Amino acid sequence: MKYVLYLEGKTLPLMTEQTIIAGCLHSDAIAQRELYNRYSPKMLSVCYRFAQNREDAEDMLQEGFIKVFTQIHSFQNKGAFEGWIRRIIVHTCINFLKKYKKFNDNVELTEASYLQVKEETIPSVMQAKQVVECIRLLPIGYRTVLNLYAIEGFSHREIGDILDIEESTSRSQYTRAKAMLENVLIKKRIIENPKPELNWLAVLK
Amino acid sequence: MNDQWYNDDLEQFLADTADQHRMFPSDYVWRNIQKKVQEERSWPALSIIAFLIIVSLAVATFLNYPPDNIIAKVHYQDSVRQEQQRVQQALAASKRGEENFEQRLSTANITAKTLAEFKENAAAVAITDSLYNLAQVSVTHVEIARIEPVTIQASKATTTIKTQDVTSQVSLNAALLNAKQEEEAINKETDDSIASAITASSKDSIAAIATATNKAKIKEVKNTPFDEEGYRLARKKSTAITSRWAFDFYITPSISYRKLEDDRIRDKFVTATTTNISLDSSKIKHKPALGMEVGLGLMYNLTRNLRFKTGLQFNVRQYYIDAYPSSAIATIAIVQGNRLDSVNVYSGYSNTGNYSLTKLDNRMYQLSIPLGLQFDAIQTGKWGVSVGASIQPTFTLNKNVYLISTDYKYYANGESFFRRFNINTAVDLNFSYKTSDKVKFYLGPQIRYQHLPTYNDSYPIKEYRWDYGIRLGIIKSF
Repeated sequence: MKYVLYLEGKTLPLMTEQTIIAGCLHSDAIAQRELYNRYSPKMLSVCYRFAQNREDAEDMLQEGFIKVFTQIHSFQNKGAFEGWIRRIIVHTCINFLKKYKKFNDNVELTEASYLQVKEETIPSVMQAKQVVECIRLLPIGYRTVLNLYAIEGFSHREIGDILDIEESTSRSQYTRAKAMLENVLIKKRIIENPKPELNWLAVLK
Repeated sequence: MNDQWYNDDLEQFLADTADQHRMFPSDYVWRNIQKKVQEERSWPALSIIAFLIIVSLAVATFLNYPPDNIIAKVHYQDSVRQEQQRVQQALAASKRGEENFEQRLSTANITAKTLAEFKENAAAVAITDSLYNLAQVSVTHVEIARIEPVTIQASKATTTIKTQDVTSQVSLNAALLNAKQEEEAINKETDDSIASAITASSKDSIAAIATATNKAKIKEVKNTPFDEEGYRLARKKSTAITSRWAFDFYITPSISYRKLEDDRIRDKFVTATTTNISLDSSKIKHKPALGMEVGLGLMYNLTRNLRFKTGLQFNVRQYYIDAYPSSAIATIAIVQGNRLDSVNVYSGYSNTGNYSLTKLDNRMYQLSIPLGLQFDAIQTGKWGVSVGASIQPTFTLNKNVYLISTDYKYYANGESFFRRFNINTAVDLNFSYKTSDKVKFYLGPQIRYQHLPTYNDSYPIKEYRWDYGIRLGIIKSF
């Protein structure tokens, strides 16, 4: 038998997603722990991209998982369970930012036209970590729009509704965020500066 | 990477890369989540207990009103209140008089006008003797001494002990106890205070009057007989009105032995899954655990030896299950009408396993209303023996308990089979000891039987429903 869960000195056999959901529906502590162990690392990363620091990210994660456990009866097996959890977590992050007014400083994205990046600030351990850290260098308003659009897959209309801004504002802010991130990624040597294509036809002409 | 970039698919690149990122949360995050989630479904024990205490106090207050010795209390309190007012007025007046008195004394002349003012002040408040009669009034010796020059001069010719003012034998008795002590203190302080303010000649005359007056008062108070027998009879008469009622508070640690029985009705319907399995008690490891009953009862004496009792009782009943963590779907076979049915429920624990033995606590919180009789079989002096029996309609507050699957292998949440209402019968034998006419302690064994199984009739496995306890209680008569 394969054992994958180690909980308070107890080794437990593998639980399927359906078993976890059934257990959570019955408020079974072991199933809840299994669900948390399975999804919390990825969800904390999501929170971290939205948050200003790790503490805020953990607070977001905590709030999000409490919602997951208390609202699990509303999951109707339509779509992926992970996607359902992720949407709860993302909405929790946005609500957290709104609640604690984290947008106040940088929500006016037009002011953030220049971002100073020091190459040595990011440890080159893993590309994923580097990219996340680069995203977190963006002002919070840029970062939020970029996270929602590029990574979480929300449309600009949805972003407008979520953040209480115009759809056009979301578009323009995303364009700027993307450009800014591109610069950061290039400076960090995570991506290379795109070389201009040689237009041989033009030369020939 | 370059391909990703040159395809201008930054969104895809970011999504893929960011999705690979993992972070591991601190331990406290899970603890907080668990605490929060468990709190929301935990039984509000404190709230219920607080509610019970409030209800008990309210009932006790209601039933104990008016108090048994209300007549004596009212008289006593009224007289004390009147005397307090009179003393306060006297103090205020004496203060005013004393100020004038000192002003006059400062000229070393006690004139006829000064004496007239003192008389006027003292007559207005009409104090004197009662100050000594009520020792309960918190007047310090110094304050009394300060009054003396005024009162003595105002009433030196007419001072008498008006014992008819003593409205309560209780206050009189208390005054007697303290009179002698106060006599010395008052005399001394009266002398001192006067000596510091007046001349030698006036001191002598006033002190002489004060001493004589005080002694006369105290002598008369002492000579007033205390009607102890009358007082006792009066109290007995007043308490006899409500002595049929009594309060009973008790606590009963109890224990129930676990033994399961399978009704096997499902065997009439042939199924391959369960008919070949027999109930083996050795594999089902249920252990008894200490439970508790706490109750507040109200008793009414129907006859001299027989009383009816009722009240509110809070029960905690529990037992332990040795189980092993697992994840499986447990099947419970149920017979509904003429057909066999089965229910599949998630099971987090198994009856068998080789590792991680876990102790599950099957605990139920119940509220019941005992209705019964108690008979005093023997009563010799302070010791006695009584027997009691009661029927207890019971409501179980929680239903998150485990039940065993029909194949006896798994434990699952038994909420859907749980029976909220039940009936218990209890029989007890009590050995009692009276510490006073109104208070009695008792101790004795109790047997209780739960008439209906914990789970409803469709669940095939029944448990042993007797439990045994030791009841310790106190009965307080009104």
